[in-house]
Amino acid sequence: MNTSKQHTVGKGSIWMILLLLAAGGVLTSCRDSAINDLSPADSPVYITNYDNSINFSQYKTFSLPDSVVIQSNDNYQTVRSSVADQFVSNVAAALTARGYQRVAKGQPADLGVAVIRVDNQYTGIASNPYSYYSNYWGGGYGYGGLGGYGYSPYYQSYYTYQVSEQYWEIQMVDLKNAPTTSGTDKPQLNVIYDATVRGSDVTDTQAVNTATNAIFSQSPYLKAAQ
Amino acid sequence: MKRIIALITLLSLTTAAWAQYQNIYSGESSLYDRYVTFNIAARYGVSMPLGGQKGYIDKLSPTNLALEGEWLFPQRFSVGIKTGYQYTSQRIPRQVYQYDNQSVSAVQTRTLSVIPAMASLSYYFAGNADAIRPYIQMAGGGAYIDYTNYFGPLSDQKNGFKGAIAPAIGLKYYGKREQGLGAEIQAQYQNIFFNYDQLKDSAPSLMLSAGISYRFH
Repeated sequence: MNTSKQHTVGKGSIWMILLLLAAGGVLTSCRDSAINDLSPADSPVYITNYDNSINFSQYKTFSLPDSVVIQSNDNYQTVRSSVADQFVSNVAAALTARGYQRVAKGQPADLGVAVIRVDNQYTGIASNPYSYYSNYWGGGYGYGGLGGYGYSPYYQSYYTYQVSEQYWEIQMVDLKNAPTTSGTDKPQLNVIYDATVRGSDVTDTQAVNTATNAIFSQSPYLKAAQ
Repeated sequence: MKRIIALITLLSLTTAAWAQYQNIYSGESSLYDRYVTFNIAARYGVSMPLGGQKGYIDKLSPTNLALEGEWLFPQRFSVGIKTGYQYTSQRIPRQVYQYDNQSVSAVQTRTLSVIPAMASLSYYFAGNADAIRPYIQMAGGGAYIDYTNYFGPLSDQKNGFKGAIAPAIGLKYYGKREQGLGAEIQAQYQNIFFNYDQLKDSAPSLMLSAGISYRFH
C-alpha cells in the first residue's frame, strides 16, 4: 500500500514539473518582433555629441567644402550628388542662420565643418581620411578626436572601427584654438561636435531636410555671439 | 478436499484484504485531506505597470500568462512553483533624449519581457477537497527579464536573471467537493529588482489573471 502511494506521489510531481518546463520552453521561444511595423519616417535616429566644455559663441566663421567625403573602409573619395549637395547646403544655411559666417576655400576660419558619408562594410583598420579636410581648411592639420567614435588624438594615421553601416555624419573641428605646430608633427585638431544619422539611410533630399532640421534643432548650443 | 481448502484460503485472504481496504478508505475525510496532492493552473492575465516600470511603459499589458504547480498539504498549506510569460511594449513618438553631452532624437519602441521562476507558499481558507478555496500566497525567487528599447530600428538591450517577489491573493473554484477541474482568479503584485536607463529603481506591476485549475492525486 505504502509503496503504491509513494509511486503515485512521485508520478504526480514529475508530471507537474514536466508540464511547467514544457510550457516555459514553448514560451521562451516565442518573442514578437516589436519593430516590424516601424514606418520609414520613424526609423531614422539622429545622434549629436558635443564637447560641453566649449563655448560655441566664441566662433565666428566656418569653412565647409561643397563636396562630401565618402569614407569607405580604408579609403575615401569626394562626391557630389543631389543628396550630398542638399546636405552641404542645409548645413551651411543652418550654421549661417545661427550667426556663423562661411568663408571661401583656404581662408582662415574658426570652425572646420565636414559632411561625411560613412560607408564601411566590415571590421578592420582604416587610415585617417581627414587629410582632405586638412588641406581644404588651409592648414597642415592632422585630425584629433572626440571620444567614443574611434578617433583618438593619440593615433594620428590609423584607427580601428567596428561598423558595418552606412550613415551620414557631420563633424566640426576647432580651428580657432588649434595647437601650434612643433617641429614636423601635425597638430591634432579637436572634434567639438559630431552628428550622425542612423537607423535608416538618407536617400532623397526630403530626408536630408528632415535630418538637418532635427540635428540642428537638438543642438541649440550651436550659436554665434550676436 | 484440496479444492475446498484452496477456496477457503482464497476467500479468507480476499476478505482480509477487503477489510483492510475498507478500514483505510472509510470515514468522512477525503484523500485530499490525508495525502500530499497536486494542483496545476494556467491563467491568462492583464498587467498594470507601477513605479519604475510605469515610467518605462505606461500602459496596460494584455499579454501575460501564468503557470503554477502546487503540492497541497493536508493542513491547508501548499508549496508551489510558478512561472509564465509577461510581455509589454509601447511606441513612443519621436522625441529627443539627453545623455550628458549627447542628444538622441528617435522614435522609441519599448519592450519588456519577463519569465518568472519563483517558489510559492500558500495558505488556503478552506480544505483541500472543498469546492471554493480562497487563498493568500507569498512567492519569491527570480525572473529572467529582457529590456529592449528600440531607437528606430537600433536596439538598446539589457537582460538578466534578477531577484523578484510576488505576493498574491486568489480564489480557486471547483464547482463541487472533490472535483478536479476548476477555475481560478488571482491578483498578484510583482516586483522585479531590475533597473536600466529608462526603467528606474525597480519593475513592479499588478497582474489580474483568470484561468483553469486542476487538482489531482
